Amino acid sequence: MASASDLLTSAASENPDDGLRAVVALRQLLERLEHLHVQRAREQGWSWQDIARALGVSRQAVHQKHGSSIRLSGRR
Amino acid sequence: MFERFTQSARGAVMAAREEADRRGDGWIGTEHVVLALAEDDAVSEAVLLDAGVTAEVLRAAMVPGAPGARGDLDADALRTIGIDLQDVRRAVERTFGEGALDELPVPPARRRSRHIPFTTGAKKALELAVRQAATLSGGSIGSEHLLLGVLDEGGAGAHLLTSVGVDPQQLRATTVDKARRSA
Repeated sequence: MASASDLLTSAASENPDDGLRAVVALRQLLERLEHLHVQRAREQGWSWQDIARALGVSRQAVHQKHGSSIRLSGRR
Repeated sequence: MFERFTQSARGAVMAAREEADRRGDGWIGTEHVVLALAEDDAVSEAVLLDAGVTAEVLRAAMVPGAPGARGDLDADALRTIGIDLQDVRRAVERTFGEGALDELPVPPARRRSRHIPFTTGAKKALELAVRQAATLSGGSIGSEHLLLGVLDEGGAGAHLLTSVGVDPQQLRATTVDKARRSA
């Protein structure tokens, strides 16, 4: 059983296949987390501008990405 | 290119796109075309059914080839960069409730107009389908020609079929037969 740091050094470097797969997995995780938090922020009355500032992106970007799915899921 | 496609062939191409979208794949490949053909078209579906192929069988064969592409997050890949998905899941569920992390960020049905390109192999398969239609059936492209295109192209879709126990030569022969008869 390899230790966590073994895994880190082996996989974070050599093989592009493993490395890219990790990137994809991480991106998917990130997307889901972002969605959950943006949804919650909207439910708590945050404006798109507030959310955009917290995420460090433009208001347009955050609205374009999350606007339709979150509006359709029931809350404005 | 699609103007000579029959309704059913068009439907199959659309369904292939939806399959790719649903799986979260960033491409439309011949594997998605095969899945679409097995799913919802009369002619190709009958040929595939005769060969023992259903959409369920294909889906089961596809999952391992696409880590994390479906609803499941790729725990193994995350572990290689030191992230324990179980830990993350527990923390997220404390705040958002059970199963929160399983929720796809944007449900596919609501995702409009995301452009998903055809793979080179899929383009080639479509071209071959056009050629088959010209040779066998006077030019109009049906789903049986799409299947022939996928088989002749010999890439991901053909491999998928082989992986579920199909003999490509045999399937090709029955499909050609069907195409001739329905011409």
